[in-house]
This record gives sequence, C-alpha cells and structure tokens, in this order.
Amino acid sequence: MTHDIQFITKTKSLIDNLKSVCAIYGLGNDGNEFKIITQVFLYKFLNDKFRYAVKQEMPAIVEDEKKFSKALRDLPEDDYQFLLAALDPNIPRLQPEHLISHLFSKQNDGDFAKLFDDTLRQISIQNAEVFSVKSFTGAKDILFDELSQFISDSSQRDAFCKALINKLFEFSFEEMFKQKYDFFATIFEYLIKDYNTDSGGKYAEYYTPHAVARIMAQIMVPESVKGAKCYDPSAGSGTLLMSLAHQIGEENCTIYSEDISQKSSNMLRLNLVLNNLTHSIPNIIKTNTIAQPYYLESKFDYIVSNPPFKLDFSDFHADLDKDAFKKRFFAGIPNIPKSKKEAMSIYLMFIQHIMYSLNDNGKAAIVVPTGFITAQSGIEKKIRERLIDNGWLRGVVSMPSNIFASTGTNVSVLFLDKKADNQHIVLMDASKLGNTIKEGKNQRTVLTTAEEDEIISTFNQKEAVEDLSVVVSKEEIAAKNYSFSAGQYFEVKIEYTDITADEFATKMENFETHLTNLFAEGNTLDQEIQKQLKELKYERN
Amino acid sequence: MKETKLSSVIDVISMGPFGSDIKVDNFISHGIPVLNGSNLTSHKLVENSFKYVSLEKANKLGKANAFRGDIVITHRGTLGQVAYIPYNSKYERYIISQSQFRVRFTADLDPVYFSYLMKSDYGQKKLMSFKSHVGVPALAQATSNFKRLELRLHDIINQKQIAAVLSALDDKIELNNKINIELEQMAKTLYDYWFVQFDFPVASTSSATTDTELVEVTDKHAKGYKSSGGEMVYNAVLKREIPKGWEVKRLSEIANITMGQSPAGTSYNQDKQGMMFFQGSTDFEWRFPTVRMYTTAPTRFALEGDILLSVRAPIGTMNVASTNCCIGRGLAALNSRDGYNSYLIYQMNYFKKKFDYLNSVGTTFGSLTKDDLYNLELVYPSKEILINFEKIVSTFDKKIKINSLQNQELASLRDWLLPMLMNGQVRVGESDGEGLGLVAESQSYYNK
Repeated sequence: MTHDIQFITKTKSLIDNLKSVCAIYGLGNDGNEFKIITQVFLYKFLNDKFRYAVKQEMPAIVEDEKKFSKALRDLPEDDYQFLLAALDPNIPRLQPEHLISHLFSKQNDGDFAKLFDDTLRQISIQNAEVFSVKSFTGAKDILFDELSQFISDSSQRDAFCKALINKLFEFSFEEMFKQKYDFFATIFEYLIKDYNTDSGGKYAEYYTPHAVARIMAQIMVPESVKGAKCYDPSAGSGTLLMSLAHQIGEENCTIYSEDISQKSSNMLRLNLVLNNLTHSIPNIIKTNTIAQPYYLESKFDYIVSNPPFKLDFSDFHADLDKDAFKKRFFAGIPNIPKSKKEAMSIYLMFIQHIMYSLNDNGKAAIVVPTGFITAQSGIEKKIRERLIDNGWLRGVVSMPSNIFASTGTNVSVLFLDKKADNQHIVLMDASKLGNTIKEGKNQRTVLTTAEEDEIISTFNQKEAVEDLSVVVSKEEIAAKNYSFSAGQYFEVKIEYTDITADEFATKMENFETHLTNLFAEGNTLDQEIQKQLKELKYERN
Repeated sequence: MKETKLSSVIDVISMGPFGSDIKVDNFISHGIPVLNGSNLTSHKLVENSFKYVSLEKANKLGKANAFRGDIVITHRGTLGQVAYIPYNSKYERYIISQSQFRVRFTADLDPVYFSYLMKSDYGQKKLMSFKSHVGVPALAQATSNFKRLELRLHDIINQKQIAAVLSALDDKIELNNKINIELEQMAKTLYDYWFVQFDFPVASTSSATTDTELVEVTDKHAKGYKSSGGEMVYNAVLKREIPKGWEVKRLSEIANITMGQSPAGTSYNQDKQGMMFFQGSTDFEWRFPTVRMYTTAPTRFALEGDILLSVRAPIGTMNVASTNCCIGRGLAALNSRDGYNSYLIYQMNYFKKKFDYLNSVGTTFGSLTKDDLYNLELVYPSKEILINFEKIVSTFDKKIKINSLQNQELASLRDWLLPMLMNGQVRVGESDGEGLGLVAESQSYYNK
C-alpha cells in the first residue's frame, strides 16, 4: 500500500511538472494547456503500457533493460509483426522509434520539435481504428494534435518538446500494471481537475460526485452480468460510465456514449484508456444526442445519465418535432418560453430518449431535479404516468441538497427497470443524510461510506425504514397522483401518551384555577383602564 | 416638557460583548438568559425563548449584564427595537447580545415611559438620526451618539402617569392573550383525552357500551370510555383501534371545503376597496388574521367563523375568519357540515401535526391539493359526544374571539393615544368631568 501511495505521489508530481513546463513556456491557463497535458500524459501511458505488454509477451527481450528499444529495432520485420499480432487489442501498436526512450536519445538533434510532432502523428495514424472518437457524421478525430504548434514562437519549440520528453523519461508506470490496482481513476481526476469546470456558459460540465455514481452503479447492478451494453447519452468525462463499468467488470461490458462537447469526449477517451476500456473508444460519439442521435436505433442493457437540466435549445427545437421522433418524445417537447430561454427543461428530452433506448430487459439510472418527481402537470407528469403504467419504475432516491458542489438544485435519481417488480417500488428520501462541509465559497454535502451502504442495501433489499424509505405498489403511486416523493407515503406517527383519569382531572383543575385568577386580574385591569382613561385631557391651545 | 440631553439622565450605558466573547459552545440549557432580537419586539422584554450561558461566564461578561429597569436597544440588524426589562421579569439578570446596548437611567427618566416614547414616530426618528448609511443597518457609535441625543421629555410625575395609561392597555392585551392560550390548551387537552385516547366520559352507572347518555365533563363520577373497558374495534384504514360504533370518514364528508382562487392582481388594494382578502398565511396571527389587503373582484369566499387553512408552504398553518372574506390560492376555507365548528378546529389542529411532520422530514411537499385535503381520513365520533364537546368548547372559542377583538380595539386605542400623549396634545390629570368623548366611547369596550 505504501508503494501505491508513493506511486500516486510520483504520478501527481509528473503531472505538476508537465504543468510547470507549460507555465514556463507561457501556456499557463491557455486553452491549449489542457490538450498538451492530457495528450502528453496519454502518450506516456501508452508508451509504458506497450513496453509492459511486450515484456510480458517476450521475456527474453528484457534481459537488458537499457537495450530495450535497440532490441526491438533489431527484431526482423516478420517477427515484429508477429509480436504486434500477439498483443492484446487494447495495447497500442508502436514502432521502436515511437518510444519515449528513442525520442530521449534524439533530443539534442536539430528540429526535435518536428520529430516529436511526427512521432505523435504516426502513432495517431497507426492506431486510428482503436483510438479515434467519431462525430455524428462519422468524421474521426485524431489521438494527438501537433503539440509544438501551440507554442507560437517557433524558436522555442525544440526546447519545449525537449523539456516535456525529459519529464516523461523520469520514471515508469510499468510497475503499476503488475498490480491489479485501479489507481488511474484517482489520477484521472487529478489530471483534469483544473480543466473540468462549470464556467463554460451554455454548456456546463457538471461533475457527478463519486458517491452518487457509486450508489447508481451498485443499485443498478446487484449481481454479476456478462456482455452488457452500457450507454450514457450525456457522458461528460464519464464518471458514471466508469463507475458502472467498474461494478460490472471492465471485461464484461462495452461502453457507448454521446456528448456534444469535444473536450468532454477527449476526457472520456483518456478516462477509458486509463480504465482498461480502450476497446470502447470507437463507441464514443461527439454529437448532439437530442437532435442528432447516433444510437437512435440501438437498444441498451444499462443506461446511466446525469443530463443537463436546463439549456436553451430553441435553436433546434423545430428539428425535434418531426414524425421520426414522435414515438421517442411521446410526452412532448417543452415550449420555447418568451423569456429565460436558458431555463428550458432539456432533461425531459433526455429522460424520454433514455426510455426509448432501453432494450426489453433494460435498466437505467437518471439524475433529475427533485422538482420532477412531484410536478403536478405537463411533460413531467406524463413521463411519470408512463413509467408507472408500464411498470418500469424500480424506485427513486432523493439526494441531500448540495450533494453537487456546483449546483444548489436538489436532485433525485430515478431507477428504471423494464422488468421491475411493480408491487414493490422503493421510494427513498435520503435528504436528511450526509455531513455538510465548506468547499471554497460553497456548502457541500458529503455522504459517509456507511450512509452510502445504507442507501444501497435498503434499496436493494426493498426495505421500508422509518423516515427514510417506503415500499409501495404501482396502484398506490397512481392513487397519489403519480408522486414519486417518499415523504408523501410515510406513515405519520403522532406520539401520544395516555393519561389517567386522575391526571386528567388535575390538569383540568389547574386550568380552572389559572383562568379564575386571570379573570379576576382582568376585572381589576378593566377598572384600572377606565380610571386612567377618565384622567386624559385634551390640551386646547 | 423640556429638551433634555440624554447624557444628563443616564446612570450607566454599555455596549454588548464582542462576538468572540460568546461562542456557540458557551450556550447551555439553563443559566443566565442571553437576549436576541426576538426578545425586543415589544415595549417590554418578550420572554418566550432564550439561550443561556453559565453564571460563571455571565460574571465574566461584566457590562453586558442587564438588570430589571434597564433599557435594551438594538444597534445593528433590526434597528428601532427598544424594550425595558420589567420589574416582574422572569429572571433577575440577562446578557445582552453583541448587536445590542443597554442603558440605565437616573430617577429623572422612567424606563417604561422612555420605551413608549421610542415607539412613537418622534422617538424612532431621533434614534435613527445616527443610523449609518453604509454596510449592514447599524447605529454608528451607538452609545456616544445616544448620549448626545436631545429629547423633549415630560417631568417625572407626568412620565409615570403616561406610562401607567399605556401599560394598563398593554397589560390587558397581554392578559387576554394568556387567557386565550389557557383556553386553547384546555380545549386541546379535552380533544386529546376524548378523541385520541378515547376516554370520553360515560356515566359510571350505565353500561360502558352505550354512549347515549350525556355526561358533563365536570361530573366527578364520570369514567373514561376506553379505560373503563369500553369496546374497541380495530380499523384497517387508520391502522388502530377505535370505539365501537364510530365511523371513519373523509374530511370532505364532515366539512364544507372551499379551495381559494386568487382574484386578478389589479383588483388588490390596501385602501379598503371591496372585500377583505387573504392570499395566503402572510397575515395570520395567533387565531384571527390582521386585515391588510382588499380586492374589488372577489372570487372564492370564506364565511365568518370558517377555518382558514394554508395549503402552500408553510402548509397547515391555520387561522379563523373573523368576518366574511375572499381567499386566494394559498388558502382553503372549512366549516363543519353538522355545525360542530369548534370540534373541526381541534380536529384540524390534530391534522396539523401530520402536516408538520411532512414538512419536517424535509421532503418537497409542494402544496396540499384539493384531493389531499378532501381525502384526509379521521375517526368521527358519535353525535352525542360531538354535541357534548361542542357545548363545552364553543364557549371557550367565543371567549377567545371576544378577547381577540378586544385586543384589536385596545391596540388601536394605544396606538392612537401614544403620539398625542408624547407630544403633549393629551395630558393625564385629575378628571374634571368635561374632557374627552373618548372616555365615554371607550367604556363600552370594557363592559364585559
């Protein structure tokens, strides 16, 4: 364990070093810094992974660590192809001259920046099939940009690339691959923490807290499954998908995702690589899920989503109201308001899209604003009616307020299941759980591990716990106007302790005595007031 | 009356402690009470709720201790609050807060008179004259500016006379409130004993299963139904046992329910045009709402004596309509179909516990819909017991209403007199027969 902590510290310091290189070359807080940091880190990761895999495959080659790249170069062409073919499909295909050690040895040659860029470009091209993110039209984006081009002063480019390569050469991840330890998830967050903010204006990348992601995954997948198709129509950096994949087992699932943001798609790719899900990268689609759905006719086993709640979609509102989408948006499309267009409830479109995208055994977990679960009319109500009437609701968990650092909106998680037991729907009000902590300017609520477990086990066991959860039938929900709010179903206990006849008599006598005294006092006061008022005189000046 | 600089009549003046002197962990469940803004809402100390510090801590706070006869003034936050600590206060000493200062006057200025004086426009303007205009509302350099204030004061004999006139009115109001609370408590006790515990009285002689005989609550020989072995039947709807022969009903079966509807916003006014109007629970008081808004286009009506129930946050707050009025969408009006309005008040009070519970579990409980309200289930007593309950409790409710109306009159009399007494237009002297029409007029209020 101490080894792991040491390793995390080292990895974090590598990231910090890369950032400081960017800062020295004037790229601090530049939009391109994010690309450089993540891509360089990814290069390093792929490089080490490749080395590790090759050593596993051909132990003979590693007898002399220092000569690793030379030994690779010395392999006859056929042997090399044979070696590549034997590698796991998740491992990138690299040539000996693609390795960091090779670049390191060439760092003092002229035009080093060009060599650096060329190397990364070749890796991109050779691994395009596995490592590219597609857009709606099918256009593929490449794995690496020409990073040195971000330095506008061309005379600095060599030095910059040299600085980067030196930082990368310092230590190796290979040790880490030997152990089955998923520390790269932690590293991922450290890597993107400065870049994943909600200040993006129209498109806000709210970050789903781990506790919520874990609860969603563990409630959705209580037992083991194989070959699952998992999908997130608003993936962001992929926290929910990673959590789900982790719960199912990375080797037992394939991931599909859509998101409109290019930056998010790149983050998600990195996240997949770090989490052993490289095989799912070709399924990442950068598109507008609502207007231009890529997976419209695909059906999925598991869907997770923390969709944007409010967004101005008046621009493509008209595109949605067409016959092809009639069945998909059965409950309707929110009207375009006259003012506050930015507050259009786009999450309602996502819920409908998710319901449409589930297969016959499908399960979904969706983060929604808590207002959704009680709204008395409109699209919200229609969606709830459909869920209940079709028997697709497994339950709802209302989260404590401020569980998201970035939004004050109270949220709930809907759990859909096409095969739900609709006589035992679990409604849970977890809003009283958690501890409040200060995080910068914001209040945040954090669930303890015990509370997380309580939520998960109570939900999965279908238990009714006083003031926390109720288990109700679909008929009961229909009778309560399709409300999904647990509080409305709680049994109200009014505490009352019986008193004896004597106690009652004593109590009444006390009242009587009090009142007699008060009435007497009242009489005295009445006279006093009358006497006082008689003495008032109006001054005639 | 003459202009007097306050410094010449001040014995002691001191600011409250520093914020750092009293920390949250200093508060304990009993000891020396610490004042806050809510204690200064009247001319004299309001002693409803306190936090406490230990005697040891209080002793360390020195000048922040206030005693009977002292005046306490807010200098930061809700400005304009001035109250004196009466000679019959609950405690002998209090700790003032960091937002307050306290003053003890010499024998030349009566604290009761002074706190009334500060209630007048004149007094408020003087006090606010050194309000600072930046940052949070505050009185700048409160104590030094206060000492420099010049006020027109009566001589001490007149001060005491004026204080006596106004205090008598306020004392009566306070007393009426006390009586009302006692009466309500008594009615609640009776309701719980009869309709929650099911120990309504049955004559000791008759067999416990008949309840046709009317038994006075004062009958010392009466026995409680359940505790004397009255037959109970399990009810599946309410999930508890109820007396045999009693029915489970929905609220809509025993009460006429009117859901409010808001008239057009343009019809609202505060100039007494049209009908009295209550949008929600904003104007609710202890039992009867204060009248503020009117509407010229009333939509839904509540009748005099109807229960006004708030159906939006805070759900379940209740008042009683003192006259016919219009109700907006925040309210519902209820009255008993069978004429048991007092019973209905306490039955709704019982439901309020349910609403409070729902509010307290922190669930989004949006609003109480018509269906929610209509379908509230209750166990409805037999007619004889209802008549009996109504006979007793309706007299309580009548007395409560008289007291409340009397208080409104007393308060408006006080508010009318106060400025005139303070500016010398009206003075207190020996009665000489002629003088005010006011005297004759006011007498009618107090003939009970």
